[in-house]
Amino acid sequence: MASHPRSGAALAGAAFLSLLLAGCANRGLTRFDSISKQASTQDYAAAARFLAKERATLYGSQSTLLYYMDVGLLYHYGAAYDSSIVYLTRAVNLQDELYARSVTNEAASLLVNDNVRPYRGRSYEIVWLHLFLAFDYLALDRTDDARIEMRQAEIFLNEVKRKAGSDGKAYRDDPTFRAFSALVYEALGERDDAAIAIYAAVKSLRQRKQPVPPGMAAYAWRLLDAEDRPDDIRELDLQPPSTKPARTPGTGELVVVGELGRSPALGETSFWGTWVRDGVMVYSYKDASGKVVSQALPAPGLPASAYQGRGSTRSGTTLHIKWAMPSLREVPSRSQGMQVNVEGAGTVAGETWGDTRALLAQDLDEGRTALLTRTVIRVAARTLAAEKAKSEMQTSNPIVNLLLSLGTDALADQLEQADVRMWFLLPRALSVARVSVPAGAASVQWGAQGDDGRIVRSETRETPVKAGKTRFVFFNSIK
Amino acid sequence: MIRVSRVAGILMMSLMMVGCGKKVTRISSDSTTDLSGRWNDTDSRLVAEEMLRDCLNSAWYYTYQAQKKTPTVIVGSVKNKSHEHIDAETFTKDMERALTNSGKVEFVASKGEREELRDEKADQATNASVETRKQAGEESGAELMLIGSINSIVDKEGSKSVVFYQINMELVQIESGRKLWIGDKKIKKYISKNAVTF
Repeated sequence: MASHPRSGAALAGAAFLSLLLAGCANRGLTRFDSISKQASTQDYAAAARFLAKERATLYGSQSTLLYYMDVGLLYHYGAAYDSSIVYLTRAVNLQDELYARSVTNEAASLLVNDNVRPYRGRSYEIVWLHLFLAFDYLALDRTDDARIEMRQAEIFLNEVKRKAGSDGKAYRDDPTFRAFSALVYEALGERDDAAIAIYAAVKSLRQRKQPVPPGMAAYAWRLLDAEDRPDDIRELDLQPPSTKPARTPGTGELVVVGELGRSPALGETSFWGTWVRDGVMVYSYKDASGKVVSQALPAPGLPASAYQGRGSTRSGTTLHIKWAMPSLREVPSRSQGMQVNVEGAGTVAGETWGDTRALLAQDLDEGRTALLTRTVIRVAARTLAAEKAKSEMQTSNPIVNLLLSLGTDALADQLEQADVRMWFLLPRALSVARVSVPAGAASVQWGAQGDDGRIVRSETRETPVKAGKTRFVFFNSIK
Repeated sequence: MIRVSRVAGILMMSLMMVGCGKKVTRISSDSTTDLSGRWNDTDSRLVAEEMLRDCLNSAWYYTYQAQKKTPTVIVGSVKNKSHEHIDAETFTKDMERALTNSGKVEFVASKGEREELRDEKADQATNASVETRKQAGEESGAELMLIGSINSIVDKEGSKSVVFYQINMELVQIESGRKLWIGDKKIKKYISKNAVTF
């Protein structure tokens, strides 16, 4: 067998690199499986400890932001609000530091994949990061600190809006965040800021042509009316509510927030195809759920000249291409709604004020063009490099050619991974119920409901309520 | 040839190790340091000192002086309405220090501190000897209270931002609710970040 002088070394090199890369499974996908399993036990403190133990494997050095966000959120779900504040604050600080982009990382991502870049968080995730930090402070009755988080999120949103420019499809505002900040400002007695926030919430929903929840619309009307802003009421097309809130002397308000269900995640959609010259053509497609569709077709033969002279042949070599893109992966949620029963105040149903599915879908849609461009550049560069390597290793033996080509293709495939990193521990929805209760210790019975109205999780908690004050209380059913 | 490459390797390793160490340098607590651009100890100290200087050089103080009276002051709450988590206690302690060190006013303990002192007196009532026991109901009541707020406005575009802090303080007569002095101090910071690194 007359082999190419470099083929032996190249084969050994390719085999070695393949072995090295064999362990490079997509961390984003591994993380989803591991963390979901841990979180489903509802033992959030144990889940947080698990993440700390497996940090290097599940996150690596480029997803530190995500690690802080995940651990912080798990502590929040476990009502360890102080610990949650520590981790979520670290996430906020790190996100600020990640403003500077490394030229080396950006260049590497064009050759390897986007996972080599540090995770900076999606815009809506950063807003919700501040929102959950505010929730932690509210749970600890530190409303002043919650306001600071609201202000930081406002500054971030201003920057997002500036970058979005006139792009109508872009994420420019967050009605959920705005509505909650209205509640915070109102709790602090800053009704003017509350009115501005609720105006922004309703306006954002109107601009997206999304329905305004009736309770939010009624709240907006009351705030704007109290602040003497009839023009805003007209602009937002708000109607006076049929009932007036009963805030009698000696009562306080309980704002019950339910964190319900599971956010959708990101899966990897990939396509790969191989043309074995003088053999077959195989192509496969894998969707976000992992379902693979493959097909093989006989490939046209090479011209006779490809077999003659020069000591090598193209027969057996391959032309291989693969690309992977993130796509929305549905995660079923059993918790769809909530109801609250407070002794002496009756039963109130929750109203959904936020949905992470819509936010993620919008985020993917907004970033698709940029992502596609990056993927095309990366795949083209890698395919050309692989073709060059295969041509250098070409021998006169079609079987050796095939083995060398498949090794090179496998190596290139290992590098092509979609960046599926995201904060999938967020709840699918935030639900709100406002109850006027007599001052003192309120016994709050909370239940998360499934599709059929049946309770899937319930909890009872005693909460102190002061006359004339608002107290926020948080429950969750992350399933 | 081998020797040269070995020396180069050792040199390179040495250079890498130099960057791995942590260096701590002690600096004066009065020095001005700005790392992140956020509100820091220097802002807190400078604002407290400047505002107290302005406060104690105002007309109300000369009225007290003319009556040969030393005002008794207490620092009330300083509300943080800014966009940053500012430790208000550091600021109020700076105010207390500036007030006490001025020697121009008498200064009484804050609400929390007074509660601690009362607990101690209650304990002494049971456990201390009659000669050394401190009596309840002998506290000096403050005539004036300093209250205030910290506000901020942030203007940001890309890697550049301007943060404007305004600190408002008021000296209020506790009995009448009259405001004897209103002062403010403004701080403007320009912060620019690197957009690109290697």
